[in-house]
Amino acid sequence: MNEIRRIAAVLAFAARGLIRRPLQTALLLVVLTVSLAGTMTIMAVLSGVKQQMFQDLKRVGLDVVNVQMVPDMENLLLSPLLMEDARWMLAGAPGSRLAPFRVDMATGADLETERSADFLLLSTTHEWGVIAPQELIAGRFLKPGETDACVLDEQIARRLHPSGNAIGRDLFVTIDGAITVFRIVGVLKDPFAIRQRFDELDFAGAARSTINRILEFKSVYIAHDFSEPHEPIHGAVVQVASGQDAKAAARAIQGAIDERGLPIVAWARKDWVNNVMKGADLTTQVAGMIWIIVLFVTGVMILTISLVAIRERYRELAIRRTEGALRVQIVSQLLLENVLLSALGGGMAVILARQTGHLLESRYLSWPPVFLPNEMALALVLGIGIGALATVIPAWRAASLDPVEVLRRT
Amino acid sequence: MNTDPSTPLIELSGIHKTYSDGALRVHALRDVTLKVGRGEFVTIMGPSGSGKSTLLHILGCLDHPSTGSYRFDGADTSAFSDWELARTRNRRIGFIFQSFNLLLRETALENVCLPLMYAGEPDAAKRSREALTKVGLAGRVEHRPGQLSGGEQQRVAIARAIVKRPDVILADEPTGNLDTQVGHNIMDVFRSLHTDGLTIVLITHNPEVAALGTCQLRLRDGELREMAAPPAAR
Ligand SMILES: Nc1ncnc2c1ncn2[C@@H]1O[C@H](COP(=O)(O)OP(=O)(O)OP(=O)(O)O)[C@@H](O)[C@H]1O
Ligand SMILES: [Mg+2]
Repeated sequence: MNEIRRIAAVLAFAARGLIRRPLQTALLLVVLTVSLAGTMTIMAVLSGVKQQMFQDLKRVGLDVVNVQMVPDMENLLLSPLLMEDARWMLAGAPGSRLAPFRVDMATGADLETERSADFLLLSTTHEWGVIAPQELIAGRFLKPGETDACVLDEQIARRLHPSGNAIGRDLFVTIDGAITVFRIVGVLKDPFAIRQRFDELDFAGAARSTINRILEFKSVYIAHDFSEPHEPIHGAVVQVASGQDAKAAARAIQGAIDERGLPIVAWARKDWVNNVMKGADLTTQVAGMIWIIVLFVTGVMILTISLVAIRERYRELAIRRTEGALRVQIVSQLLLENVLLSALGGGMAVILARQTGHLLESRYLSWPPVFLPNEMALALVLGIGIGALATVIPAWRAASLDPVEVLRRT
Repeated sequence: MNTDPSTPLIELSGIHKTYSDGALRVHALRDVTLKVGRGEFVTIMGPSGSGKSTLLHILGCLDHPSTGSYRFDGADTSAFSDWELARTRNRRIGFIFQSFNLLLRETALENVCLPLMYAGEPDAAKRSREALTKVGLAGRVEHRPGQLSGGEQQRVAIARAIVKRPDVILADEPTGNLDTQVGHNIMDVFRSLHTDGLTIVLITHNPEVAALGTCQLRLRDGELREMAAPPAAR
């Protein structure tokens, strides 16, 4: 009980010290709150990007292996693979299912809206929709044997039909001069929702180009009959049997391909997702430098304010020393005042950062900033630590002055 | 605390204090020897620069002599640690200065509480009010120094000095900044403190004030001499 009362008295004493200097207190509070809130917001926005990216990427299917030709300008669409090759390719990954595909560059147009778009025309089987399922925003994926239907990526759909529903409309596709008509039966959700904002905001250039360059999800899917064993294919998506590791399957498939010396790669989407996330981590680290600089500048500002503020208190501190205050008591007093202020500023910063986060989300971002407790704690601890350090140095200097000298001079 | 009443409270012998500022050396005190017994009221007069404040700072454990020994209540202060020096100032010595040395941002009550707070005294507020009442400022406890007259500020300083129930009060020209009438009032306070049995060492320029002392000394060029010769001084 007595202890509690003593602690309360000490805290009240420190609080009094702050209230008696309203201008200095307000100034320090503003600097602390704004910089801590800024730091927390930067951290939260970056964590939000990462989380959103991971969720987006997860949607492309983590247990899927892509088999495709090594990109080469000369043999761009000249495939060395035939449908019958699938047998030896999957020998190392038993139980896998495969959806073959062929890729053509094509242009499509809607005659009514008089709009057109360039895209990759992916000829595949209805199984693509099962093996590498993508979320649909409208309609459905291709049905077995449905040769007059097509499914669009959201981006293409929006290009051709900016006003809304594309389902049921006819798409006139030109391939090598020949025109074929497909009925649109489904629109796939863009798995990279975050990309839209990066197109508008250019601040996160690195993250944006990482996503955009690797995945331009601008395709149109049509069904094709791959039953003929000599049918050439450009690649396939492979779903590994449940319980099997996609990375191991990719290695086995790659091994079989390498034995035959074909210019083909097999990669697990899981690996690719990890690589992209690693790239995002790097971006985060670089951006992390920003908040370290913000905190450093804050520290220097607080140090400057403290130096001036404590100099103004030399006489007061000398009187306290005359009346029997120990050096440590002087330093603790100033330190406690500062910690109290930092705690207050930290609390306000949390509120301000959350508000700023909401505002950013509703106005500018397409992903919610994520306030991770450990990151918030890190910012708070660093903020309070820097504030304390910026106080201890001038406080110790002030407490070490000869009180007689100080009182004689002032 | 020493309980032997024959031990002088303050015992200086052969005190020298030299300030050296580069090549310039100032002998502020030369071979000062002084004993102050309990209950004495010592006044020290002397021209400006004669070393009065320097002497008082040494007596108050705020400064060290260059040579010589200072025993406070029988204990050699040169052996005191920083902590012991601070504790002695905090509990056993009351200071009163010409310029009051009050904390300007704190109320009269908080100023008086100051030494008790550092002593960890639990009923600091109650004792501080009593001290303020004793110096006639019961109605001014919540005033800041800026809201008080010079005489009232000096009373606050006196209250701060007596609230710790010190062994000795050291006053450095306590009436120096006050006009004659107010100075008289302050001296009345000192006189009653002396009557209560407090030991006082008081520095002044004013012969009228000096005449109140039971022992009256004079400092000149750092040397201490007796003026009149009441038997207590030596
Ligand atoms: N810190 C210091 N450094 C150098 N010289 C000092 C210092 N403190 C005091 N002195 C010198 O020592 C001498 C005595 O100073 P002191 O303050 O004790 O005088 P005083 O008798 O109190 O004078 P006054 O009546 O004007 O207050 C003076 O010559 C002064 O200049
Ligand atoms: Mg003086």
